[in-house]
Amino acid sequence: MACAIARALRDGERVGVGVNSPVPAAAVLLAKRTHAPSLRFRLPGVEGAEPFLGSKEFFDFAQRGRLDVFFLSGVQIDAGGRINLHVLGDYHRPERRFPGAFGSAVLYPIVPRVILFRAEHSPRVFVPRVHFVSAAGTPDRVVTSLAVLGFDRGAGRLVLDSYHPGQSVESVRAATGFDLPARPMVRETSPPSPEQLRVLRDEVYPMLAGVYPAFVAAMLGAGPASSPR
Amino acid sequence: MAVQPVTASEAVAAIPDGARVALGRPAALFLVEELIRQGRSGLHLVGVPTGGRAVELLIAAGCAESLECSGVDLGEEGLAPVFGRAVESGTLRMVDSTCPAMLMALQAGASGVSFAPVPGLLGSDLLRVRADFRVIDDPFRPGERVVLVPAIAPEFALLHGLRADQDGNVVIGTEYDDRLVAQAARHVVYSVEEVRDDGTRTLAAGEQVVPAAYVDALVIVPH
Repeated sequence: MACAIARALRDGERVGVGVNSPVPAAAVLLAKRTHAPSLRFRLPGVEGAEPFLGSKEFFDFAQRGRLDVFFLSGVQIDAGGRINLHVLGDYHRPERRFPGAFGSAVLYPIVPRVILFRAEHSPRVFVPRVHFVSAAGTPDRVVTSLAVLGFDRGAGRLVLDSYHPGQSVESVRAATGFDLPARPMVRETSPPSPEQLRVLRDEVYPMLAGVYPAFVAAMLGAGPASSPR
Repeated sequence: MAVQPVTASEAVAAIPDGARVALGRPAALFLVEELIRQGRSGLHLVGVPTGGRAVELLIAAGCAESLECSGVDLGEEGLAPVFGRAVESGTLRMVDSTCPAMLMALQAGASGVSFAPVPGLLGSDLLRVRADFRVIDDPFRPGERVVLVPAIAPEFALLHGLRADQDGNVVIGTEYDDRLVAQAARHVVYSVEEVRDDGTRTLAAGEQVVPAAYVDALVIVPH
């Protein structure tokens, strides 16, 4: 996922990373160390991040329209790209309560490129219609552990751009709770390059150990090819 | 003029049941624990701009009637279970907002005006559940709609700084929004780990000074 997100970032862009976003954080640092050395990013607690005064100044920067890319996720994500970070069931009598909007309700409609990320790609996450619209906007793409979804602006709905290695159009559709048309050019997602994996392991994850210690421990501990340094 | 620090007990005693109390980041946990020890109830908490462990503790202890913020979680530990159950069972009234709206509302409170316009938000169900958010025709951008949110000027703020000087100026980090909370709140209690003469003379990168004029009570807490 981090490699797929990193590839979506272009050199020179101004990118913001919000709370609880370890995968986008890794993607930003990876992009900066590979194809996008002039990337500017907001990522509190990480070396090299833009030293904004509080989150207020960062949100002002975004409100002015100067932020190019931001990352959002959702407990539910629907066919129209809307996200739900609040409740399952009725808002006033929820079956389950989740954290809340954070910055999404303002950032989603105004940041030019919003990349949605959600590791779990299942019918309970990708629903026809969210129970509560925490934020609505036009997503640049949605990156999951199975696929990359794009957004058909004409139809106003998510479509399948690429399926990750080991997946197929059919398997991704089966994991999605709404009808997911495939783009005519649908293809397999480019797998992570050896260089991307090396930079993640040797440079990026150590930089995130202070902010996301559990995530970094899991990443460095997982897989036969990687080991803690 | 040298400032006279007070005890946490004295500082928190000024906060009555039912008060609107803002909490910053990192949380002033020592002051929050004192609030719990004194058995305060019916508090209207304001988490700037989000809530974390301090909010969990206050809800668990039965101190909170409502909470206004843009999200509550425990970082990498995940969901905040006490908060979740309290909203699901109806024992906590949640006043949902979004970070930029919280911060613009605090800026309005800090600047002495009654509301702030906030971009974005259109299309969010927050506009459906926040009856106090208004959508108007933007008077200065013909054809555009804009959301107005009421100012936030909390009666009290419980904040934590790194250190203070003898005059009561407080050094805090630049990462969070506590300066804005201090500007907007009417009565500010600051906890710090030490008070020393040269406390504000040298600032490290990522430090800033909050003027003593904002600080109504200064409490020295253990490291």
